[in-house]
Amino acid sequence: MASVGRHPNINLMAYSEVEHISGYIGNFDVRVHRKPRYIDASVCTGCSKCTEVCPVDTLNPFDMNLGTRKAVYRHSAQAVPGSYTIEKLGVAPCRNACPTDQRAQGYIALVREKRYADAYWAIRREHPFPSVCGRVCNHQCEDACSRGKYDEPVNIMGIKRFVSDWAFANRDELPEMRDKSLVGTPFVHEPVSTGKKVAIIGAGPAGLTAALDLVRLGHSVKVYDSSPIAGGMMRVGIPPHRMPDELLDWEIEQILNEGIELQLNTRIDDIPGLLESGYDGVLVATGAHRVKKLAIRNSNHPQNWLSLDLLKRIALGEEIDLSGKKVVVLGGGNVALDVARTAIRLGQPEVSIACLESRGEMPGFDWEIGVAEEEGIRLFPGRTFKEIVVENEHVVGVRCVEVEFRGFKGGQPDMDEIPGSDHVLPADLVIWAIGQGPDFSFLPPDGSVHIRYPIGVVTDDEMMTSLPGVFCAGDVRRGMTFFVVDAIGEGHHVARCIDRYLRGENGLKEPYQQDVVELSVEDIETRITDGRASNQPRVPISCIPLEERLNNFREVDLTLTEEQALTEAERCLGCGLCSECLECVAACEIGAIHHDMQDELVDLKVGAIILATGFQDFDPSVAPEFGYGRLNNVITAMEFERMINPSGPTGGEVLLKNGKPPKSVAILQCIGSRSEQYNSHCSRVCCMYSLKIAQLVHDYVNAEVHEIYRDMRTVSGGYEAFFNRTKQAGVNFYHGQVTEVEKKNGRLVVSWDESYYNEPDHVAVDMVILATGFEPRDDVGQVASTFSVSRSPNGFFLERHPKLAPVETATDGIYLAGACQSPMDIPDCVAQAGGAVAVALSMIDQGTIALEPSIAAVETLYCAGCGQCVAACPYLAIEITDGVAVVNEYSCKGCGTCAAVCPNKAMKLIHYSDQQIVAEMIGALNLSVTPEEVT
Amino acid sequence: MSDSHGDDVGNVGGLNSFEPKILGFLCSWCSYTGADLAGTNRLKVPSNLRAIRVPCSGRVAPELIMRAFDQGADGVLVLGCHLGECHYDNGNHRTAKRMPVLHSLLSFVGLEPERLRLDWVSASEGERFSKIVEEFAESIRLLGPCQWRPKALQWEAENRLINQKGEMSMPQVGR
Amino acid sequence: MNLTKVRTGVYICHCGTNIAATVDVKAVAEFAQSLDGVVLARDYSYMCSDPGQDLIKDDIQEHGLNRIVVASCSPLMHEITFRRACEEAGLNPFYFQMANIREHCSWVIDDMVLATAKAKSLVEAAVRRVYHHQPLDMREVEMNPSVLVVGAGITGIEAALRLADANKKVHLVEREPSIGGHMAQLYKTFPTLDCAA
Repeated sequence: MASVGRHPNINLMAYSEVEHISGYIGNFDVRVHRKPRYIDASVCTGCSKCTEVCPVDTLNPFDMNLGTRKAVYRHSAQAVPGSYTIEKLGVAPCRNACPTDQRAQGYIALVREKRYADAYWAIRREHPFPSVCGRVCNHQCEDACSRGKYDEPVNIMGIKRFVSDWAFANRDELPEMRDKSLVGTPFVHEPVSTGKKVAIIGAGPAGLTAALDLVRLGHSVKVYDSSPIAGGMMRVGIPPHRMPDELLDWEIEQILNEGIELQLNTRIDDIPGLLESGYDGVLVATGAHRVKKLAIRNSNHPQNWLSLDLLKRIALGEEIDLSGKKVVVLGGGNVALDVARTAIRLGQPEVSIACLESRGEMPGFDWEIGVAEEEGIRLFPGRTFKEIVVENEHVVGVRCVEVEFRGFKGGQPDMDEIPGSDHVLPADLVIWAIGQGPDFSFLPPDGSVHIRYPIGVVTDDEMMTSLPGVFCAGDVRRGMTFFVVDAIGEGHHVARCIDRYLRGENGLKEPYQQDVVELSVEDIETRITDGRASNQPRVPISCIPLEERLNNFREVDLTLTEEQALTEAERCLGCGLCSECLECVAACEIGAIHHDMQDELVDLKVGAIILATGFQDFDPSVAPEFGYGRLNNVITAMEFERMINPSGPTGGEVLLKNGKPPKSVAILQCIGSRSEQYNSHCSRVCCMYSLKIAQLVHDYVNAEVHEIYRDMRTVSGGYEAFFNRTKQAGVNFYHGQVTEVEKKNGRLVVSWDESYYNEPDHVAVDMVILATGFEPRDDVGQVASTFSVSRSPNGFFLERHPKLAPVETATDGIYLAGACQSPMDIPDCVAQAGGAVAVALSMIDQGTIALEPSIAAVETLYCAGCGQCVAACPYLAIEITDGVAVVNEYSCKGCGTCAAVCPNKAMKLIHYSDQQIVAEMIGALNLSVTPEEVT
Repeated sequence: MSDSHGDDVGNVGGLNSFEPKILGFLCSWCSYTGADLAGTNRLKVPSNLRAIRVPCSGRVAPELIMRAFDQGADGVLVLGCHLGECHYDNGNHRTAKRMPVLHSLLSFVGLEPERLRLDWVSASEGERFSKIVEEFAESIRLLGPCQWRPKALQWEAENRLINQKGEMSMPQVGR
Repeated sequence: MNLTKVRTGVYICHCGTNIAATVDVKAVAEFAQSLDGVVLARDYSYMCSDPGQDLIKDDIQEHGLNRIVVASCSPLMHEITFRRACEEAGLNPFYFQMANIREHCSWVIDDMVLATAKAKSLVEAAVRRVYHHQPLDMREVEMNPSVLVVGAGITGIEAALRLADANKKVHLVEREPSIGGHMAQLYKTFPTLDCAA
């Protein structure tokens, strides 16, 4: 094996498949599909460090699934090439759904191994604010989670919060692994300066994310914010009972520590001035902080508050007492809920929420509406507001009309008011939370930054505004409040755009989109039954009791306990197999691992092709009578091979399920072969390998061996002697056709028909080894059609002639060798390989090859240039040139389809002309025999 | 088929009726090889079949099929590789697509469409080949002799499209 | 079309008894003799044998034959053989046509009358067809000396190494990340009970 890897004349293309063949003998064009190993085989030294850190276990097919291996693995101990390979089925749906490209499967896999620090840095790779998104995210990852098809999605947000809370709690001892969070990214700490300066307006999630990316690319970044605190909406928009300040502050501090200058309390309203003062680029990321109100009577009365004003005052530490008041919050979204739940904590006022949508249609999270009600907030859904009622200069209520609301059409509500439903909701404070939009007042007054009022700033495909060098991202671009995660996603994106703007060709490219894994319910069930995911129900988030929430801002939702986080992580199905935690990339010292490696197509030109695609073992689970898959300790011959192999999953020990060696073993022959039900052919090699196994069991396992055979076929030199030696060694041979294997009194009882006179017809043993036959590989049909090779009735590839051309196929230049043609043992495979090589060489060494002259030819005089032949030709061998068809004589293979479709009979197939065929037909039909002549 | 009352249907399909002439177009790679295999395995194939080897069933132009009926075939059997196994990629798809048109053409000119059959025989399906020919021969036996030939021959003789050797001269259309 | 007069020779092969036991070869030869353009028709025990081929070559020389029909086994078996015989006698190999009276006739029909009748019509078909044959030349093309081996189990490895040792460029394509196939999974292999890898 090793010499193949070293031979200068061999171009070894492992992990590759032939996709297409065209051409003819001597001149085949071959297209090979190289599957990505995600590891550069020319660099990988096989040091195994990647495997040691990989958190993903999967069954090892090389060991017949008797053992496990990691997602990054070496095929086998003596593999050639020796390089490792990563088994990746594609991008997990959770990653695909996340706007930040967060590899959730990756950190969950690390959590399963209790590697919380690794998990934290894995999260930080794409996500600078895990503590926020561990709490307030709309978790599109969970909506996409495959597990949702089976029971409930994995509580991904809960796990993220657990990790970020763990990291915060252990921040002093958190291993200094910042560099790990850069693995697999284009970013570096303390990079070489590019000399470019970027100003970012707005220290919210979009601005800070972009700042972080840009500073780690070597640009100098300064962030301005008009607020006295950084964090934007994360800080001033999320009330403390949902998001404790200190976590966010810690995260912002980590970002700023990368070398970002932050200037607070500074409102920028001269963007062109920024550019003139030396900035090469400006990012506008000011968010959507302008709260909307309806233009109804008295809505400007000072007892009309704005949602963000209240939240901001709380965020800045102001003490507000609303006790005894009647507060009505207008709006049905998440902000309205935040505001209402904040207000009720300010001295237990009477708080209610009124909104346009019906209860079921409210845009706020369903769970949070429930919690709000629990906390004592009353809901008045399904109404529109007509007037803020003021008496004696004080707000006393909101006059409402009930509506039938059908959603928004073109930005306007589509609804019918219900006549006579006019009523007043009593209130002495109204808080508006019907939506927010961006504030554009700081933009240049000359209109050089285009906006689509009232939506957002207009940007091109590269997120640049109409003012060159000025970019825009986040809510101010999209024009309404999205989620933090969307803003972070835009922040990453705009950083790439700015980098491309600043560095041109050298700038960051958009990431390559890999295919997304789609698991069927059956796939999910398999993963649960084979133990890759647990069958536990989803762990919900628990809350502090209601009575503990009164008049304080203690965080309501609790973090998962370690035990709960582990239970939840165990539920992850590991959709992509490789979790993309990138631990291997961090571990690989020579940089051989590339998770963004892509499929590659390689074109080859060859003169001859030898097919040696082999066979597959019969799968005995389709034959329940033999007990495989139904009874313990019924194994296949290949499973036995792996067990007795010192480099196999048991280290060379043949053991029963209970861990003890078997005292007696039965070997059953002809499993799946010579049967009407399964494969009708004789698999030819099983007799001899069964004898070998019998000897191995006898010599190394020291068990009693019983072999049940139908006919002992020992056809080649020395084979009969081998049989005799096996008999003499004391192996028991019984003639018979096995009818069933059953469990009786704790033992496996094998019964058979057709036993010889005076011989037993059953035996009780500890272990049964099934000598499974050979069958064509599952995709043999597809391979046959790729190579234009016919198949025998058993499905194997068919030789041109069973006697005279045993290694040739019907297609010149394509030869067969080995068990893809019929079952054969190793000596025969080697012999046939030699035969195929000899035939190939005898063709190649002629230097030239003579091809049949029967190809298509055009009688130009009759050709109308209609192109029917061009459409009919399977080989693109015909072109219309100067109004007539012209045949490329090297591409034409002579099928004659063109001749059949030519309406003018201008196209003919040489040696199969109409005239020749008709003449043959006339002769063939000329004679007949009358029935009287039949003897 | 016939009961004791049905004198007029007589011995259609009976043993002593007629033996049809069947012209077969067999593709060289699959069906002709399959037919060879039937021989190698000493299976029985009705002698009614006269097989013509063509590179691909896609070569079998509609005129060739009509010409076979012209020349006295009682049935025409076109055999190719199974769909997806064509030696020439997709020649047999073309053949398959032509069949419905040909069948309706046959009925248009007064022939039973069942006299033309397209089927697939792979190189390893000797048994299938023998079975298809057996079935087809029996079905043509039941249909009786092709009635179109005498009329066609007469028409052709009148129009001098066929010479004394039985060769046809083909009317060609220039550009 | 044929400027020179067509002179066809027809040869009916007995193939031992493979054909002759079911087909009345003499009758077929006699029938062939009567066909248009046929100068001579013979039957012979084994046409593919050297004496059989010499018969054709001699007749081409002696009788000025310019078309040859051999009624014997499948053309998939011996068409090349007889084309070569024609060529050796100076006749363009494509002036040859074969009638398959073994696989398609004597081996699949029991009744001698039916088999003989079918053989006659297959011979007539070939005689009529060969009348229209044209002299053709094979197309010579260069042969690329490299080889693709698909599958790197024991067979593919063996083939690749042998070709490589013969100084041919080999592209060895394997679906799995490593070569070795099933064999790499085995411990001791039959019959020598030594290590597989």
